[in-house]
Amino acid sequence: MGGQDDNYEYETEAHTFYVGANVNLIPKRWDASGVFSFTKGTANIHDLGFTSSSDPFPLTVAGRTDDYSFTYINGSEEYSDLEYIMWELELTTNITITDQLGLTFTGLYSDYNDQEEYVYGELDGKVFSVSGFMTYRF
Amino acid sequence: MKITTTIVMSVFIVLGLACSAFAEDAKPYDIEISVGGSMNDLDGAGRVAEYESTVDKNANWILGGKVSYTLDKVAFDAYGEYLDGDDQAYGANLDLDRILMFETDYLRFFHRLDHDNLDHLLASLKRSGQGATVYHTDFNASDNYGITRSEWKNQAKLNVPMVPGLSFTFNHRFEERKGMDQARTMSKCSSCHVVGMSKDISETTNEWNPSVNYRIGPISMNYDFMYRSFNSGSDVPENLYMEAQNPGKPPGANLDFIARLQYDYDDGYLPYSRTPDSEKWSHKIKMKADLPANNTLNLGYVYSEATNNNSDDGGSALYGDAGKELSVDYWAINGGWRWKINKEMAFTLKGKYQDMDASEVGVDVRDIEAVIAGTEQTYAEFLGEDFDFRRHSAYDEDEYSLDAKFAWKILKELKLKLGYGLEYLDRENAEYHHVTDDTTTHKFSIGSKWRPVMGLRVTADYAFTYVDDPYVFHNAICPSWEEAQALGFDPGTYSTNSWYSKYVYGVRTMDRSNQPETVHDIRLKTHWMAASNINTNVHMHYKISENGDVGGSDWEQNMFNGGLNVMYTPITKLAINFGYNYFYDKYEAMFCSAFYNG
Repeated sequence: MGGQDDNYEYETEAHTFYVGANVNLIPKRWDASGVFSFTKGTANIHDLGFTSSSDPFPLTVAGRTDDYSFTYINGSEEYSDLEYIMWELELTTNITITDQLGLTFTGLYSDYNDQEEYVYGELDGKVFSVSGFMTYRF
Repeated sequence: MKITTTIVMSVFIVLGLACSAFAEDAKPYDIEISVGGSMNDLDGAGRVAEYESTVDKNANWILGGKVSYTLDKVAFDAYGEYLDGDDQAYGANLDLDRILMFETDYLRFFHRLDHDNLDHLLASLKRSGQGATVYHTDFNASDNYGITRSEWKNQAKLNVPMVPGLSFTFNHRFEERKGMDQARTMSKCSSCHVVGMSKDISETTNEWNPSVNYRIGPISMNYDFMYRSFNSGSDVPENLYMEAQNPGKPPGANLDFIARLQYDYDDGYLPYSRTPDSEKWSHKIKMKADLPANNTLNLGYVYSEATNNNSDDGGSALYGDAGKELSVDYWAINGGWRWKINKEMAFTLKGKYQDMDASEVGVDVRDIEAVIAGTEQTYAEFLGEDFDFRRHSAYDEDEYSLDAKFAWKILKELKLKLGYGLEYLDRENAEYHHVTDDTTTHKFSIGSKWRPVMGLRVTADYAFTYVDDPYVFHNAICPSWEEAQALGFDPGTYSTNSWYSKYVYGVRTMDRSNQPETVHDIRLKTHWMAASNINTNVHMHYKISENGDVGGSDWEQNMFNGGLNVMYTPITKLAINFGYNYFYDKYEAMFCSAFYNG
C-alpha cells in the first residue's frame, strides 16, 4: 500500500499534411479533383517507472508469493505510448453529358497504421471504396 | 424515428413527383435525382472508417435528390440523400412571403467506437511468472461497438404582419443514440479486478424551444423558453462481484474481511453503468437598446433548472439512498455597454454575475449486516457510527466577471485592441471537497490588425493571465518515506489491517493542481496574396501555462500549433492547394500514483 511522487512529462505531437488539386478538363463538361492527406500522431509519458525503494509502505505478506511492491509495476511506460499514421487518397470526377444528365465517380483509399498498440489493441485497417452515380435534372 | 424517416422520405418523393409533373412547362421548378452505387472493402479494424457505416458492406446504393420551387411569394426547396440505413440526410425549407418560414433537417450517421481489451491493466502490477495481480475479464471480447446517432431539427418563424417588429420562433430538436457500447466496472473492493461487458444503448433527447422577439424603435427584446428531456432506455448491465479477499491472509480465509465491505458476491448481481433520465428548463430574457451618441446597451437574465429524475428511485448496496431528485439551479444577469467614441475608437464594457446551486442531500448508506469475525458487532457498531453522509455539491458557486475592451484605429492600415478581464469565483462547498475557496483571475490582452502593404494582412494577439489561488486539491501528494516517518508512520505502525483513510489518504500532503497560475498566450496570423494566383496564410499559436504555487514541484504546460496553407492557380483550369499543420503539447507535472493491496 502506498504511492509514489515523481515528475513526468506527457508529450503529444501531430503532423498533418494535405495536397489537393482541381482541374477543369473540359469547361462545363468535365472536371476532376483529388485530395491526399497524411497524419502522424504520437503521445507518450517519459520516464515513467517505479522502484521498490521509493515505496513508502512496502508490503510483504507471510504465506503469500504475490506480495505488493513497486518492483512489479513494469508495464506502465509501454502502455502509455501511442503512435499512428493515417493517410487517405480520394479522387473524384464529374462528367456532364447533357444539360440534364451527369455522371460522378469517386475512388477512396484510406490506411490506418497503428504503430504502438494502445488500450484498444491493434487498430490497423484499410478501406477501399469506388462509387458512381448518375444525376438527372428535370 | 423510423416513422419520422418514412414520413420525411415520403414527403420528399411525393413533392418530387408532383413537381416533375409540372416541370416541362414551369421553369420555377428545379428537380434533380441521383441514382448509383458503391463497392467497398474494409480490411482490419474500423478506426480507419470511424464515421463510415457503408464500408462494412460489399456494396450499397446511392440515392439522392433535390427539389426547388419558387413562385410569387412562395419558395420551397428540399433535399435528400440515402446511402444505407445508418447514413441518411434529408431537409426542407419553406418560405411564405417572409411571413412564415419553416426549416427542417434530419441527419443520421454511425460512429464506430473502440473496444478496450483491458490488457493494459497488466501495466499496473505484473510479476514475471505469476501474471498480473490486477486481473481483468472482458466478457464480450468479440463484440464490435458503435452508436447510430440521428438528429431531427425543426425551426419555424412567424413575422406577425399586423404588428411590425413582432415575431415568434419555435425550435425543436430530437436526438437519438442507438447501438452498443462497452461498460466497465471494478469487480472487487478496489481495482484488483476490472470487468468489461457489452451494453445496448438507446437514448433520446427531446428539446422544445419557443421564443418571442419584439423590436420597437431603438429597443429590441427577446424571451426564450427551453425544455429538454433526456431519456435512457439503455440496458443496465449487472455484475456479480467477486468474493471478498483479505490480502493479508491466504486465499479462502476471507470471512473476517466481509464485515468491512459495502457489497460483494453475497449481494448477487448488482447494476452498474446506469445513465439517469434528466430534464432541464431554462428562461432567458434579453434586451438591446440603441441609444443616442452611438451608445448600445445590452441586458440579459437567465434562469435554468436541471434535474436528475432517477436519484429518488431508492437505494441499493451500491449507491445508498438520496431519497429525492437532485437538481442544479442556475441564474445569471449580464449587461454590456458599447460606445463608439468616433470613427477611430470604440469602448466596450461587459459584466456578469452567475450563481449555481445544487441540491444538498443526506445519503442513507445501507447498513453492513456482516459482523466482525469473533465478535457480535458490525463495523458500524464497532466504530460507533454509521456511514451515512451529507452530500454538499461541488457545483455550488458564485461567479462575478467584468470585461473591458478598447479598440483604436490608429492608422488606416493599423488597428489596435486593448483588453482587461476580471473574474472572481467563490466555491461555496470548497471545505467539503478539499479545494480552493475562491479564485480571482486577471487577464490582460493586446492585439493588432495590420495591413503593411497591399495583399498582406497580419493579425497579432498577446494575452497574459494571472490567477490568484487557482483551483487546487489540498493534501494530494503521497508522502516520501522521510515525510511519512516524520508523520509518525513506520513499518511498525503499519499492518495489513490498516485503514486506507488513515494510511493512504490520511498521510497525503501538500497541494496539487492542473490549473495555471500564469498563462502567456501568443497568436499570429498572416494572409498574403503573393500574386494574383497565389494565396497563402500562416498561423501560429503558442501558449505556456505554469503553476509554481503547488507543493512538491511546478506544474507546466507548453502548447504550440502552427501551419501553412497555400492555394495556387497556375491556369484558370487548374487549382492546387496544399498545407501542413504541426501540433505539439508537453505537459509536465508531479504524478502521484497510489497503490493498494486489496
